[in-house]
Amino acid sequence: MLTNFKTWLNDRTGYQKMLGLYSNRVLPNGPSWAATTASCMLWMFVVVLLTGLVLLSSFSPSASSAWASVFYIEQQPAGSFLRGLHYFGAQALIILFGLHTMRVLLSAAFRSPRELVWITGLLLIPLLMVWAVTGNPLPATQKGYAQIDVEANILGSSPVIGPFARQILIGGDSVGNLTLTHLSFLHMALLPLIVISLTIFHIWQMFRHAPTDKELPPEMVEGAARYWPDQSIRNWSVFAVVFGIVAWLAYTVGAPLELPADPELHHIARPEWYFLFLFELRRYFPPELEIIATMVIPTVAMIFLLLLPFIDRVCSQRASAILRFVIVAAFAASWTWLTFTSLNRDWNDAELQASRLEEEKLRERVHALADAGIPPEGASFLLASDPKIQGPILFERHCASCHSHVDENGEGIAAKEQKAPNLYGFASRDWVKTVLDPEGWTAEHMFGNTELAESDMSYGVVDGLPDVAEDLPKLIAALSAEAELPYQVDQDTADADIIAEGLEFLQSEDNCAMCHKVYDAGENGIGPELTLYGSRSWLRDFISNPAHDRFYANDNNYMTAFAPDRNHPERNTLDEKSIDLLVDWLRQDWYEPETPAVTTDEKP
Amino acid sequence: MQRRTLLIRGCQAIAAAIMAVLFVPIGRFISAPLFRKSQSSSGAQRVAKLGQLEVGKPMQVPIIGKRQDGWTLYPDSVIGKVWLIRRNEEAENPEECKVDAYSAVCPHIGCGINHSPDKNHFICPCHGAVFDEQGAKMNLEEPGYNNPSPRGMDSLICKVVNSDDGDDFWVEVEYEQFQIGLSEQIKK
Repeated sequence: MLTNFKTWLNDRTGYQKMLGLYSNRVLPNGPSWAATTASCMLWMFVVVLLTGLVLLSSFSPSASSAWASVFYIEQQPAGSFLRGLHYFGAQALIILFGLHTMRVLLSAAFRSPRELVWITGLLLIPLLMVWAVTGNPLPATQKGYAQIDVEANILGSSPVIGPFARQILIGGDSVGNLTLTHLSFLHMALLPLIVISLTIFHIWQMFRHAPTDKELPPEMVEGAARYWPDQSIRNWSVFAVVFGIVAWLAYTVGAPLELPADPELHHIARPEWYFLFLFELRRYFPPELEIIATMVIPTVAMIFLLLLPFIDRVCSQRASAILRFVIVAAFAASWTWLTFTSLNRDWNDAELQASRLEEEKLRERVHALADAGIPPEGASFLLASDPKIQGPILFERHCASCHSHVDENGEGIAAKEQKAPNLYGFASRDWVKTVLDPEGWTAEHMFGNTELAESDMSYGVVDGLPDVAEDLPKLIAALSAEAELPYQVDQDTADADIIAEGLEFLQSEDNCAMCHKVYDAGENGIGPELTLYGSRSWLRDFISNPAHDRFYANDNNYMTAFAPDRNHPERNTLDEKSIDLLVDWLRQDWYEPETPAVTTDEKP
Repeated sequence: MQRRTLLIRGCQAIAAAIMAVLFVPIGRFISAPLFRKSQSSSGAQRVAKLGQLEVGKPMQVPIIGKRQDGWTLYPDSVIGKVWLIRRNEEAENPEECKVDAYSAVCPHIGCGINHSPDKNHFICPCHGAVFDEQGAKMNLEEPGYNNPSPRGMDSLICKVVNSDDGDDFWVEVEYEQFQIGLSEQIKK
């Protein structure tokens, strides 16, 4: 039945003749391990194509959604593994390409009649490089954006057509939506078409010039063997090992997904490891001659290699062997030296390493936030709207000239000149306790360096209040509860009774309400309003305008009003969003992923 | 010949192993949408103040909820529409207030159901399914009319609750999505 079908199919298609090209090949010198590079490359190419095709089904090439869609792929069953196969497979392909080219050079397999096999193979080198370059920025990471920006500028610096080519590649002046659609077009449509066509031509020519058993019956020549299966088993064994390494890397390490692109982020761009040699080479030329490293040397080397079959013809056997050996040795040595010099320099660059470490922290945070859902604005919005990330940046820029933000271990942001209180844990019970204590109030890190060091609070006005000794803990709990701090919510709920009593104390006009407005009790004018003290709305209003009647009123000569004019936001120092971020950060009100139960057996 | 067969079997075994490592994950990745849980229920949510509703006069309200669309999470998106009908004048005791809620998704093919105030019935503009004030399937007195809907409008759990300050009443609906085209009401 099957045999009948095969016969019928062969009658119609002639496929056995096609297969025969493969299986009837003979190897005049017998099977070899070195010759496995070709088949290894072909199959790795198929793996990269297949995984790329599958990834394409869930990828969205748009500035606001590319990162999110790649993150989504990572969350899907086997998504991370497939992306890892694509990522490491492509790098394995680059290594195999280098090895294959060197082997062909050493064995002089480019000689007549295989000149075109050699030339088409060589043309695949720049294509493969462009393929990698167009793939890396696709997830719209900050790293990818920085890389394509630099690479496009290198392209732009080439003579005559450079600026135009750059403009077309990027799709405008800066990297964005059009860059991603252009890169997708190149990476997923144009390059695959060209590379597949060249590869088919390359293999077809190679089969055409390969000896078959019609010319060379293997039993007649000593040491000869059939390609199938003597060479095939070697090919498949080596490919199994290479694929195994790639799959293992994909499974254990996986493809990275760095920080989403955000113009606010500072990223020190470096090319991928396989381009480091060109990056390093560039250093040895003065800026005006940089083009020699980035363009001239690679182009000249390429042209020389393309012409090699013809140069080789005029050389003697001995000269050819020396030439070929020198090319391979020179390339291998210079590539290795340049790459490792560059790696070594980066490794010893403290600024670069610190920046990478900082990015790694941010990356972990962004991944945690993305786990909870990426909004329609895209992944960079996660960074921009996260109080935990933006809070310290805003604080350092706008508040740290006078305020510090230092926790009990002494870690945090120090004031440039401590002129105002340490705002760590603002409105928490500890904070309120310190403020109500005259010694705490006048401490250096609290109001000691402000004009408020002379206020009634510093003279122990609280200690003079009736029944204060007994009621102070209640007062502290009640005032702190006004802030509704998320990290204190359990305590506040548990102490609801104490807080209710404390609130009565606060509202009594013999006590706090003598000088502060507390809900309906008391009046504004002396001390700041204590209704909802330290809450979101209180803090937001305070930072916007501490000179408001509710706070320091006209006495305010302590603190900048950051957004006093609500009707004209453009006149304010800070916009509402930044103030909200600062407020949420001060209140430690940010998203934290629910951590799975941590094993506690690590205790010392 | 023995050796040749052995080598061929070896090649085949390696190829099969690599194909498995490649195609099993590809299959899992591609088939993932089949196994994804749909999040059709969003729990009870407040959709209108009782005072907004006139007795016997249907009002359409949107259901707002989180919608996960692939890699994007829309935090406040319209995830459905509901018709509310207040049945009595009661406005003192929330337990006595009677409000019915019907999903605006037509059980026939999923279009949005409109209300016709003149004829006082619900009508789906796509294929003319008609429902009465109780959401039940009805037949028009027109020659050749055949109601295409397999069942009546999907009623939803609806309650009237006190507002937080206690002065007002909210209508609370538990929104669900149901499979279309079936005579039984089955959750998606």
